[in-house]
Amino acid sequence: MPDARANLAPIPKNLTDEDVVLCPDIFSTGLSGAESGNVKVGDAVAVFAQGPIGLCATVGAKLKGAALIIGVDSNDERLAVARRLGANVTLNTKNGDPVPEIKRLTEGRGVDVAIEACTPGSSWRRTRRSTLASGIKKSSRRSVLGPKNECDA
Amino acid sequence: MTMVEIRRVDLTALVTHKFALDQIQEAFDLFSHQRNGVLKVALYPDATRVQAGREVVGVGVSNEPC
Repeated sequence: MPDARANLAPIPKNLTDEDVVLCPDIFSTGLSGAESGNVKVGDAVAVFAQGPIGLCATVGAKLKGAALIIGVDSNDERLAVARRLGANVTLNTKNGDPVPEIKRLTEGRGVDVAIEACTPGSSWRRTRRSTLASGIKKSSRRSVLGPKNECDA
Repeated sequence: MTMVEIRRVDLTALVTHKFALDQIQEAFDLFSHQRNGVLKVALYPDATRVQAGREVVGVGVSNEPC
């Protein structure tokens, strides 16, 4: 555990291990995706990949006040969790390129913030990267979790 | 952690599977193959906390604002 001396904290008695086990790592990482993307009240946000960290980015976008949260993944089970955790809309990449649907959902404007929480090197990520630029408006903010040299388009 | 304590955030849906520590091979097999909708696996040194050997936790989360 990096920085254990700073990260260790007593667990309140009314919380279970399961309640808090993801706080020091997964949740803080996902939340940082929403924070570094500077999600503002009313924003439209797309979160690419809905693994544990992407799901926590979805939670973070909701906490930050996003009005529209679009969860993108290729796994329907994960997308179901995304909807429960705050995604208003979910898009399965197996059903086609998500970018045109994102444009439609935002009336052609694209999202204000795109958060990328995907596995470096995945073929899905490369596909997404090749299509992302045309779907996100130029003034939007991007937040990339993970190795930036690999994820940045 | 305060946000969890005041129930603004419920992360329990992400711990989808629980195993006793001596089932670690089974746990790794599940996780590495990403089967059964696994997100995160919890391993318990005290096997009595894992009912019936393996407990698959539902992904139930309240729909309240989180």
